Amino acid sequence: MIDPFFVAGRPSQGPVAVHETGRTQDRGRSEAPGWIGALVCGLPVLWMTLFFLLPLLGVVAMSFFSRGPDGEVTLPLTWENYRRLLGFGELGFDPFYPVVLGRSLLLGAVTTVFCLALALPLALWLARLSDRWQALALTLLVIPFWTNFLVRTYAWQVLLSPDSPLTQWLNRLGVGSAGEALYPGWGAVLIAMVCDFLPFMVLPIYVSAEKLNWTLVEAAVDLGANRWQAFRHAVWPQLRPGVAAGVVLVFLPATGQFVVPDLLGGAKIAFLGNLLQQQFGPSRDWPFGAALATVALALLLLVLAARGCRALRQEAPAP
Amino acid sequence: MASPESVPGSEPDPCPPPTVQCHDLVRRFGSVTALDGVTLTLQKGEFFSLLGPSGCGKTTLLRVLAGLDRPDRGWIRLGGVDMTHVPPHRRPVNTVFQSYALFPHMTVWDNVAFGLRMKGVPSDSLAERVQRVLRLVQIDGLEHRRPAQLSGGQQQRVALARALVNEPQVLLLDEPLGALDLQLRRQLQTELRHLQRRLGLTFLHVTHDQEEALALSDRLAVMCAGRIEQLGSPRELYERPRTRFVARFLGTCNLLEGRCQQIAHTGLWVQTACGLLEVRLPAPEAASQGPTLVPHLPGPQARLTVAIRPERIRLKSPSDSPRPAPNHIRARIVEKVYTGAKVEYRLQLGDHTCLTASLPNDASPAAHFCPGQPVICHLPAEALTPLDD
Repeated sequence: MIDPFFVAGRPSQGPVAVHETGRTQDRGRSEAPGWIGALVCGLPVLWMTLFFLLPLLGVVAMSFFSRGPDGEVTLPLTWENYRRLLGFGELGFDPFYPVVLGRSLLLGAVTTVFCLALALPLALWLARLSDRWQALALTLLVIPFWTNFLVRTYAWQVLLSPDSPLTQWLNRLGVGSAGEALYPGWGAVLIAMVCDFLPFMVLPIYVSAEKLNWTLVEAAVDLGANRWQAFRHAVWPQLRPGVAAGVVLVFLPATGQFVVPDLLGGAKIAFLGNLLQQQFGPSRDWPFGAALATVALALLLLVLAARGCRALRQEAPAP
Repeated sequence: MASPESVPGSEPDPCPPPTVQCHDLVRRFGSVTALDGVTLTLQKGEFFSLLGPSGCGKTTLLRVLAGLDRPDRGWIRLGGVDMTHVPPHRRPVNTVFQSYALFPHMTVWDNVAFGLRMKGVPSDSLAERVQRVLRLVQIDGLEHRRPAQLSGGQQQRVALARALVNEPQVLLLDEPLGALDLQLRRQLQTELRHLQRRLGLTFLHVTHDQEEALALSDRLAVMCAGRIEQLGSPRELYERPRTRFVARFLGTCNLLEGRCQQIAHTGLWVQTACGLLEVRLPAPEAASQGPTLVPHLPGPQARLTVAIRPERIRLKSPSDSPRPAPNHIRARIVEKVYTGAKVEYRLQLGDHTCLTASLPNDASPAAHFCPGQPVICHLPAEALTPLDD
């Protein structure tokens, strides 16, 4: 296409860009009859409103109620649950709940970082395999999902128990002192979490890596970039959408995870997940549980919002 | 380190080593041999084109020179320094990729500044150099755009600027104009040539557009199946092709089979099915310009193919030259194609050989022959070229 603005000796101001954005927006609009569209969109919207949004609002509302003497939800409306969460209980300042919240976020963050560190090379390697091996490797990657999650978690208890061969081998490598098991404890929790969540990080990054434009890498190297610089400037920007999706997919559930910390942490360490479960289960303090859930949700929404803002900024045309 | 081959047109001063030397480069991909012993020498400031059909190895040669691919055999020197095993980011070479390969997440400015940033050029001289090269390729004012917001021609200019700003010893261009439409391509061809002359840079240009290669290059090489089939100036390659492949690949060419009758110093006589043809060889002083001009002379009675370009054939009415003369052959016009500036005739000779003649569309009677009409077709002795195969 000849750019008439350019040939005239004047740099063109925007017609190309305007045209392009216009086209992408048009693509989303369908020409199907109105009632089909209403049905297709309306049913899920109705479903989500009835069974997700309204109960969620109910949880938020419940967090302002009080717990009755027998564990029932009663008036008066109060901020007490949130005060307790921040550590200001009836017996003065106690950092237990803020620490649990922080510990859960830390567990989520550490799991995410480990998954990312393992998934990046794995996804890039997968994407460069030939088609046949790729299919096989992807199958191997998701095979653990064919086993029940609880069974897998209990299996780690056995594998990481003091006299298991894996523990002895790890001890010999210098992980933990001799005769000391990783289970129960942080180490066991982390190992199981990373194994559980790794596919959720690998798959979206693999999707990005598979359509990676390697010519850009060659261009970077041709222009004098060494290996690290080529990765930083030519590979990473192309993987970023996949990484962002993977981080969300791992960080959010990992933060709220309570089965793994409960079973492998020896039920000694409290996490957001098992604390929540306790409030709705044994403790029968639903309003406080609701407050916990609301705060956790708000924190995670913040993470999503931060990511959304970044994505918006990146898609916006440069000034 | 002396070059193993003599270089046509080289300066008498032996001091500056050739910008690019590669020797006996071989590259195989499985059972496919992409490069099969390529030896090439480029002088400073030369515009050199590699021409060939797709899959002939021209892009592989470019990639091997850039360091993006490794040769299985042979060596490469750039400016006299051995570069065979030097990684691409340390070679004084830059590439303009066929797909441009602009970084989509960077602005035009950042794209162009990339190479200088990788080298750690201080920011004030970086800004000045980027600005200068943007002006040079006439895209100043678009610095803050992203590649997706540019037209094809503008993207091409950014790709060129991004490579030029590094002041490479050799600029490798991989079909840089292939994705553009014809009109824009012609315009950018001229600009590319002017740019190369002004900067005095060495350009190694890969293309499958023969017209582009002839128009732009100081010298060019035609490649086929991983080998350099013939190397020389555009005029040499077009007018004195040595093989059928080169003759057919560069424009259209008529081929006539025959037997060598008599060999003299200045030429030879070839007996073809439709008559005896005199083939005049280029004068010795022209031949001394380069080794490629001296044809491989056949022995007497050897089979031989001679080539002639359609535009070199002269047509006359039989009434104009009633007596048979050397290199004058009787023919009949089978088809006439009017293409505006030219008239093309398909001619049938006595032995059913077909020739194509292309004549200027002027007022001469030759431009107004009709299909079915008998003509005398004159194949000038100096326009006939003997082929090696």
